[in-house]
Amino acid sequence: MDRLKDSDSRFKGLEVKIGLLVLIVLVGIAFVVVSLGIERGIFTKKYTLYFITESGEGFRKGMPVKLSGFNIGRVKSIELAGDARVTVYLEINSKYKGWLRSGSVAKVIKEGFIGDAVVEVTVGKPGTKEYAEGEMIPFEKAGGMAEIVNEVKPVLNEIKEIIHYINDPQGDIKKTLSNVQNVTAGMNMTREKVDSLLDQTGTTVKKVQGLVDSVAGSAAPAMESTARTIKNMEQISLKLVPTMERIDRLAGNAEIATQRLPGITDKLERTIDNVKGMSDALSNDAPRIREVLLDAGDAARDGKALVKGFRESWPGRLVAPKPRSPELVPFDGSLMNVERR
Amino acid sequence: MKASRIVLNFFKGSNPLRGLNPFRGLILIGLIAIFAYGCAAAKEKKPSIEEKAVDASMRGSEAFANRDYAAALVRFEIALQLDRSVDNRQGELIDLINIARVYTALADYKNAVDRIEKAITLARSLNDNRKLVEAYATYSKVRWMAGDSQAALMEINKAILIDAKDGVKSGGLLNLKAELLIDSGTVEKAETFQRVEPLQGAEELLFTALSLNKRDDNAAETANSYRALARVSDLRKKWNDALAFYSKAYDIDKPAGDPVKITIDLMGMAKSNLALKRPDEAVFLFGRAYIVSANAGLTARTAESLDKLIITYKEMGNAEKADFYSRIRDAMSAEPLQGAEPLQGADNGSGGGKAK
Repeated sequence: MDRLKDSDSRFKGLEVKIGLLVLIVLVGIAFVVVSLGIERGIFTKKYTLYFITESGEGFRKGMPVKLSGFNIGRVKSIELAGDARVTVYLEINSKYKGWLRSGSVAKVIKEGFIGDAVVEVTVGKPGTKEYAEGEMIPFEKAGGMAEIVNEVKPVLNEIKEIIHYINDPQGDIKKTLSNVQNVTAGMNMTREKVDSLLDQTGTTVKKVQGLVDSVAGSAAPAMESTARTIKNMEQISLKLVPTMERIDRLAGNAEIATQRLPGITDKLERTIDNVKGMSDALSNDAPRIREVLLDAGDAARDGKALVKGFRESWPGRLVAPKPRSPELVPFDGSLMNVERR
Repeated sequence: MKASRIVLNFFKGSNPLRGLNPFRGLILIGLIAIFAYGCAAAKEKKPSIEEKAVDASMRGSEAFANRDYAAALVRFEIALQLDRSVDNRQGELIDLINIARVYTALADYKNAVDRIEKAITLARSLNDNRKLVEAYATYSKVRWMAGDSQAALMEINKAILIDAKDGVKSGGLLNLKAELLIDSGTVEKAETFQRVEPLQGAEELLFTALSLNKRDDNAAETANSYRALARVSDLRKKWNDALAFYSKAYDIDKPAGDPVKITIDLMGMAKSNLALKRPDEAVFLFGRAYIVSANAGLTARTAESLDKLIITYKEMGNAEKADFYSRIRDAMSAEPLQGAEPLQGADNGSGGGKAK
């Protein structure tokens, strides 16, 4: 401690140095505070509007107020009015005052399916009076998840009706399928007839060939033409064979599909019932589900960030798989499968 | 204790490192610096040209594996341009060999030769023996495809000699050499280059290749060994052996799904059965070869299998079936033959072998 004497040269001007340090720190803190204040609009001029709604559900203090997607204010406070309705006070940045006129309405919307709810105000009619401090802005009720589910319900009912229609034994669809079955059965018969016709064609061709041979000397040019026609007929009949096989397969497939359809429609109907049940449950639990979804989203984001951080940081980099390097395509030591000039 | 003393000194306002051995202090600071650096998140960066080249090359390899040679060629060419732009010589070498192999698969000898010659020059300048062996092997195949069996044999010998110097043995190279021996009629003993009786060298080489390929668990080359052994047995008219080898090759080729190799195996089995006076089995196998080749669009092989079916049915006295396949064959003849896939079964084509 003997070394730490006032006469030590290191302590010269110590008070000034400390004072300077404290000053710099204070200026820095003030700068940060002012910057944050400016960024958060603490120093900007504001005015208050309010609207009345049936329920305060979904509103919270500090909730953003947006105009055309831009943040123009926040929910200042929420109060229960005397008639059991809810008054929501909005604190709006004064520089946007010019947009909020008669015709402007406030409503609650969601940013994305599971995004935060915000109060959206619309632009008023040009030339009308601007809303002044403390005035009421009309509130328009917009759909939340419960409303969405309610909108979906009629659609599901319609789908169910369609399934009933398809499945009706006396309905058009079933009858059409039955007709298709008859047609495919007819196709089988036709195919047998075509087979028989082909056999007959073969016999006829041979006979005609004989005839052609016998009169070839006297009518050679005409017979050559006939011979070509016969050859074409033979080729056509050959090409018909795969077509007939395809018809066979098609008929078989149609029959199988017809047999499977009732089972499929039953399953679909049961699925739609399940979906309806789920949608009912969803509409009841919508607020909680939204919270769970938000939590899950946050957890997923955190998890992803954690994994990314781990991969990119020191221990992670050591255990992470190394990037693949280019390789030669495999060499084939056989000559049998390549072409030679 | 040292750490607690440092912290204590720090809060007392005195020199935190007082009393600490300066050497240990330096080590401590170094360790802290290393830890801090290591824990820092890696800098976000855009893929570099090298990474883009690697990506293009990997995509090319995938396309090649799917037999999409046109796509593979485009990808490898992109990789080559990128590798050259950053002077990545190793990458360039791999790209050149890969491109040559794609051209080989496309039967484009001129471009294949051009690329593989550049690859050989580059591999020599880089003293990369492994890639040089790969390049020589590819060059050998290209020379054979271009019609020069002796030159092909010379190139594969170069590859095998480099392998021998490095103490490496590749079943794929031995397979190729064996087939070249059969094809060129060269009667040297494959590894020692002593002159031996025809086919013996190839056969010995193929058994060595077979054991190496099994050891390396290389299914494709194991099948190649069996198929080439079947060919040797064919040439020796040992039909039972040929049938057994073709069957083994078929068992491996079938799950791999290469229609050309499957057709060769089926045709080989069919011909062996025919030689063993089992025409029923033969026509059954010719029929399957016809279906496989027709479905894969292998026109020349389809025509060959149909010809065999017609002849065999005629010999069996089954005029109806012979007539049926004749009409299909005639309908095929009316259209120009598409594709020029090689026909080297057990008893035809260039693989027929001069070494009989």
